[in-house]
This record gives sequence, structure tokens and C-alpha cells, in this order.
Amino acid sequence: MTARRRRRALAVWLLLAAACGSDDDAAQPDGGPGASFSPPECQVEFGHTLIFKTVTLLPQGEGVDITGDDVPDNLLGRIAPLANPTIVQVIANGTGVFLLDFTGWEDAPADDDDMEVTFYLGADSDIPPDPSDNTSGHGDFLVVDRQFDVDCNPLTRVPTSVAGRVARATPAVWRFLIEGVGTLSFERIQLEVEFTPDLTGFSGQFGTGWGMCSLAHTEGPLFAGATLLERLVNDFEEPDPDLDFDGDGLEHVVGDGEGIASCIDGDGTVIEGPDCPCDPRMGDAYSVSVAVEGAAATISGIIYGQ
Amino acid sequence: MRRPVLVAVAATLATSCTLLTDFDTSSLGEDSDALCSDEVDNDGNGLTDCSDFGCLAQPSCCVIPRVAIDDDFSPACADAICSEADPACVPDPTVWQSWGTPDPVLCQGRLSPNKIEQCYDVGVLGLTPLTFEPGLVVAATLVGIPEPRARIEVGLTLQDEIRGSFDPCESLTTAEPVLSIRQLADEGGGYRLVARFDGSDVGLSDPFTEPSPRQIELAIADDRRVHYLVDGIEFAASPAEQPLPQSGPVGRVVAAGRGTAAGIDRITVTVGTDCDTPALWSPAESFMVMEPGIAGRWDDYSVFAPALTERDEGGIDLYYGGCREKEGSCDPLAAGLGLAAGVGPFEFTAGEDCPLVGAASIVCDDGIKSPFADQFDNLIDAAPFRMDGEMMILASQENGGDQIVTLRLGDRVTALGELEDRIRTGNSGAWDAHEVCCPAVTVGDDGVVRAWYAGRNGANAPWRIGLAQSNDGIRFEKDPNNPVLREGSAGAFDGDGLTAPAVLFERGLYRMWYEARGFFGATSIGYAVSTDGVHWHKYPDNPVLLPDDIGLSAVRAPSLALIGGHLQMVLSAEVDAGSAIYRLVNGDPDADAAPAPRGMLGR
Repeated sequence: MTARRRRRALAVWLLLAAACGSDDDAAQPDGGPGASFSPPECQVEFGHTLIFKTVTLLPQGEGVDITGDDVPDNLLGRIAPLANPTIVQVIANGTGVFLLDFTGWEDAPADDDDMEVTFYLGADSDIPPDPSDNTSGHGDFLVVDRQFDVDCNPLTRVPTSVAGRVARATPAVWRFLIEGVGTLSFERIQLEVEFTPDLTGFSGQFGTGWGMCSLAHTEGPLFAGATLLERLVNDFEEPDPDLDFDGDGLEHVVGDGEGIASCIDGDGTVIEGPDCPCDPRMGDAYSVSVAVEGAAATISGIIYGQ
Repeated sequence: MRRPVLVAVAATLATSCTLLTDFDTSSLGEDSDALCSDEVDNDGNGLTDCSDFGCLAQPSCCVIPRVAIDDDFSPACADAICSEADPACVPDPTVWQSWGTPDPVLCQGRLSPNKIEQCYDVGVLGLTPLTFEPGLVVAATLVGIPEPRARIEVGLTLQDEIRGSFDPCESLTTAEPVLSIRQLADEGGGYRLVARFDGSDVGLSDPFTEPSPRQIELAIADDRRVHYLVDGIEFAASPAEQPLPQSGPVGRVVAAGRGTAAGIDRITVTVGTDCDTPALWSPAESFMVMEPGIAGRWDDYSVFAPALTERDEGGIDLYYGGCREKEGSCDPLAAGLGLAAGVGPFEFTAGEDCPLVGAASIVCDDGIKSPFADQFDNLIDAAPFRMDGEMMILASQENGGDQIVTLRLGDRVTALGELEDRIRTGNSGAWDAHEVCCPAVTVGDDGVVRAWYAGRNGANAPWRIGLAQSNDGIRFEKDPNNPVLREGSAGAFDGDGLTAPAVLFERGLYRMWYEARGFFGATSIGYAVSTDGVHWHKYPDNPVLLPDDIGLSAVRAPSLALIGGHLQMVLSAEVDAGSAIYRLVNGDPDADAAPAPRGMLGR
């Protein structure tokens, strides 16, 4: 990788991380200026919540076997040395508050095969925000309204189970809303975390495929008009996805130095244009494996109109 | 002795009353805006205010909405289930620009945002530019109750394009209406309507708890204020101190939202009003709407006697007569009644190879399912109507016969009622003793089926029009005042008779267009009105349409549709060999640009 490419890749992750905590581009409050009527607030019950203390992209060659060939899948691990320091920074400064909320676990820590886990992007409830206690086990957070659907159900809730204090979830698709960035769509996630005996912490890994369309629309003003896929395709050697999710051979994305020029489906079909990553025929993904550690946390409410 | 004088006066009055039903001789007195809105029949001609021909051009009577957009979102996708939205069921791209992920869809007869995320609104933007001037009205029918964090917003925006994203939850603001009504859930499990003006709330409706359709309306009044109505009742107005600018900006209608439980049944945008112009007809952009079928079909020589009908789910179909050729004219032993499905506003496709009913001699792939029964020949002149949700047809022979028969449509077409129930030729000497034909039907709010039909008392006698009424669409009784409309004087455009009526009931007035027969068989279209369906007043400037006006050799058997307040007419006329069906639009020819999903039909 050239120095220039490394710098650009780093910039991508800096921008991604910085965007996580931004509300500059958030949705307008209902009603707008002079609003006098707002719809009812969601009544949501939260469960056993934990915050990510650490999120570490594993090095390439390590991680979760997503494809079942006994070989770790982690193509994006190549950028771990560049991304991880930034992730550490955003968690430490409180701009990245990543929460997992386990619900339906009434008899915790007993085994339970009928639970759900929800991912939330949180915001510090301290006024002013004080990130120093975020991962202390006593952090208190709010979550943004847009992480719920119009009927007040969390958008990022998936089934999970716990056996021997190990929680596992394997949703086909898990979408995460990151304010200022957009919806990150992960496919075939394999999440496995082990709780501490007192349930106040966890550690584990997850591996997933990051869909091309999601990468192609992971964007925002803080990306300087580019998308994450555009950066991956134009700034890295061998930039193609490695997970043949649609079974027709690995796909190829062609950059033009700045944006996306075309895509080539696994069967050789060329799909022209910058929107090609979202063509239904483009079903492959980039593998990524992450190690995580967590601490207890509390969600005390929902922020509206952020 | 005064009694003979009184008798003479009474006799004269009675005579003049009879004349009034035939010739409107007195539109002189009712010809100002004041006289046309005083609820008085000032000229004593039996027509009050806007019913009177003299009032047609008066401002108080020029109330026909000038439709810019009228879309009920239903015809193609009424059966699509919203929870299993068909990606093919999208808003008409010739009317709307859609944006967002997921795309808004058409389902269950409505426009649905079909979006569960509490993120940017998806929706549609009208392609028609609209000037924010008095008379501009945006009306929408909302259905359903939105989920707690969903919303529907209908209004006007200054945007001429709206972009969404592939990402359903990207941080962006899409529609930015400057005037709108927003439907939001409330704490009580129902919803309220919020009137919005220039980015601020300016009013709030009472709560609604029922999901039933509710009409909202946003109207710019002469004082340049915006008035917000629900079901015809104003619930808010824009601030008096903030009238819209004199030189109104140009914007577009926008409908946006999120959620799946509520949707929009219909959007209508009107830009002022027009006067009724019963004599102003011009060929539609697509003038010929149906030509004879391809060679070998049962209707390959002529198509004629059109009758428009509205489908349950919206959209307009066309019944028509058709035949094969024999010695230069229609073969009566190879004629049938066909149905052409509307595939767009006044675009029809004659899909079936077989007619609905027809001569047993017709050979087609499936064979004739409903050949003319022995006692009925050539029931090919149809007047469709709906009774209790069931489609029925009143049918006669095109050129007259001894009865008019009610048919029920279904897998097979069946004749209803007994002979004595039907509209039959009258007794010897009666005005309709020789033959009857060519019915037109309306079904009133009172459930009464009124059928006007043509009849005559001899093979060379002039056709006249009579009325028969029924409570079930099967058993008819003739009106004692028959015939209710007679031919004109010798040499008049309808001096040789009148037939094939088409009737609409609108704003308390029956309106009839009919095929007039004049000297040497010259045809034209005449117009008359009535407040009771019995006493008719011919338009003083008849005929309202001559064949020469539209480049045809004849005009026959009109059928009318009232779409968004504007009249459309189809009729049949001769072509080189046989005949075809043509369409005309009333008033401003630009009205033809408006989509035509639903309306009132007359035949």
C-alpha cells in the first residue's frame, strides 16, 4: 500500500468514527420551527444493557469463520492497524457509544433460547457529557428515536440465545443506524460473547459480511462527498469483496480513481454506473471480524428529534 | 261572463307549459350573477339559477373545478396487499416523481409510504407546476390511523425535484412543504391533523379515532390566505398578517410520509373553476379510441354504440356493439356486445376474442358463452349500471326491437325479469308502439333506476325519448308523461327525431346528450336538461356538436363521463367501411391532460 493510500484509508476511518457521534446532519425535529404538536413518544422497555468498552478489528488471517471452511474471514482486517486507534479514541471520548441490550432474559443468568438482542447507538445522558464513566459499569445513556420503527419497535433487534453465559446470535441481516453515516448493513453475522459471572461485562467476537450496497451508501458530509466503498475501491489494492454470498462467483468493483465506474457480477455480467453496487445482482460482501469487550450500562430513555 | 275567458287563459297556460318542455324560449330573465344565485326561477321557465342556460356563464355558476391532478392511486393495484407490496405497483410516473427507500407503493387502493423507519419521508412530487394563486386547492383523502411515530403530509412545495437515498435511514430532509396538512398520531390512539404554513404549525384539528376515509383540503382563498379543511370544515387558516405574495410562486403538490398503517386514497389538485360549456367539444388528443377488430374477429367490420362504465376498483371500461360485414353493412347474424378493458385513461383493449353476448354463428376460440337467446336478437346496445354492487346491463337492439332487457353479467350473461317487467313496445297507437331501443340509465341515491330510451310508433316515424323507472333494475314502469322529449320542428337539427340518449345527474340536474336526426338523416348531438328527468329543456344553441365540427361524417350514440368535473364523450361514427368509436373533451382541451381514474358515467 502506498503512503498516499494509507493516508486516505486512515482518513476514511477518522471520518467514519467522527461521524458516529455527530448530530450535525440529524433529522429535523417533528414539527420544525414553531411546532406545537408532536406525536406520542415511544414507550420502550430496555433489558440487560452493556456498552462496548473495546472494539478491535482483528488482523487479517484472524477472526470468525463465516464461510464454514475453517478459515477465518476478515478481509477488512487489513486496515486494522489504521482503524483500531481511531476506534479506541471515539469510544474513549464518548462520540462512539455502542450498546447491546438483551431483552427477554427474565431468569438471567440461566440459559435461555428465546431472547432478543438489540444494538443501539447511545448518547451520554450526562449534562454536559462526561465520557469518563461511560465504560465504568455505571454509564447511563439515551438512545436516538430513529433507531425505532414507526411502531416503536427497535430496528436492530434480532433473536439470540444464551447457554452457559455465552450469547450467540446469527441474524441473516443486521442493520445498524449510525447518525451522520447512515445504515450499516451486515449480513450473516456470527456474534458470540461470553458474559462475566456477574453479568456486568462480556467479551467475544463477531464476524460478518459488510454488504456492498451498504458500503456504497455509508456516506455523509464528513466523508467529503465520498462513500466508504469508493474509498475502499479506489484506495486499496485487491479491493474486491471476498464473500460470495449469492453463489455466482466473486464480484468485482471497478473504480475510476474517485468513484465507482462499474461492477462485474460473479457470472461476468458488467453493470455500469455508480449505482451498480446496489444492483440486486451484486450480492457479495466484505468480511470483517471484530473482538469486543463490554461493561454494564443503563439506557434511561429516548432522545427525540436528534 | 268571465268564466270562458278564464278557461281560455288556463288553456293557453297549459299549452305554453307543454311548449316549455320542448323548447326553452325564455332564458332572457335569468342572466346576471345576482339573478343566477337568488334561488328564484326569475324567468319562470322551470329552471332555477345555475340550472338555467342563461346562467351558464355567470361567475356564481362557474364552479366546475379545473383539475390539474386527479389520481386515486387504485386502478392497477387495488388488490395488492400493503404488507406484501408489489414493487410493480408504483405511482404513475407521468404524474408523479417518487423518491425514497423503500419506494412508496400503491396497495389496497391507496398510496402508502410503506416505510417502517422513523427516518426521512418518502413520497411523491407532482410533475405539474402550480402557481400559488387564489383558487388553488389541494385535496386528499386520508385513510387509516398512523402508527405512533408515523406521519402523512400533503401540501405544496417549492421544490421541483426531491431526492431520497438507497439508505432508508440516511440523515437527510426530503420533502419541504411550505403549505401542508400533516397527519400525526396522538396519545389517544387516533390522530390529529396539523395545519402548517411556512414551516410552522398554525392549527390543529380535533382528534379522529376512526380509520375511515377523511377528506383534507388546503385552499388558497381570494384574500391570499391558506385555509385548511377536513371533511369540508375549516380547522385552521394561515395568519391574516401573512398573505401569500401577489405574484404567486410556482410549486408542486407533494405527498410524503412514513409508516404503513395510513395512506392516501386520492389526491386532487384544482386550479380555479370553469363554466359549464355544453356546446364546446373538441377531439381528444387520441381521437379514435376504438377501431374495428383485426380481420377475422367478430367485430372486424364495425364497432359502435359505446357505453362507458366504471370498474369497482376504479378505471373505466367500454361496452360496445360490434359486427362482421355482410354486403356492405353489419351482418345482423354476426353481431355481438363486447367489453373493452380500460388500460389507461380512455385507452381500451378489446381483449376477448368472443363477445359477451352475440350471435350463435360467431366463431371464436372459446365459443360463444352467451349466445342470443331465441327470443332476443342482437342485444348489442348496452347501458351498464350497478345495483347493490352488481353490474347489470340494460340492452336493446341497436336499431330498435320489441323490448329492452336487463342482463346480469357473470360467467354467463343472463336475462332477468319476465316479459311484462321489461320496457316493451307500447300498445297500438302509442308513441313507442313500433320499437324501442338505446337506453340510458342513472341510479339515484334513492335507489331508483331511471331509464331513458328511444321509441317510435312506425318504421318511418321519428324517434322520441321516454322514461321508465324501476326499483330493482328489472321491473320497469313507463312514465305517464312519455315521451318526455320529442323531435324538433320540421327543418330543425332534430326535426326527424332523437335517439340514443346519454344522461348524467349532476348538482341536482339531469343532463342529456342525444343523437339528433335532421333533414335527410343528418346527425348531430343535442343537449337538454331537466330537474326531474321528466320535463326537459333543450339547449337553445343546439346542436352542441355537428359532424363537420370534428371532421366526421356522422355522430351517433354518445356516452358521457364526468371526470374530475370535466365532461368527456365517446361516440360512434362511420369510417371508410363500418364505424369506429371516438372521444371528445369538453371545454378547455387542456383538460384532456388530467388523468381520469374515476368519475360519473352516463349512458
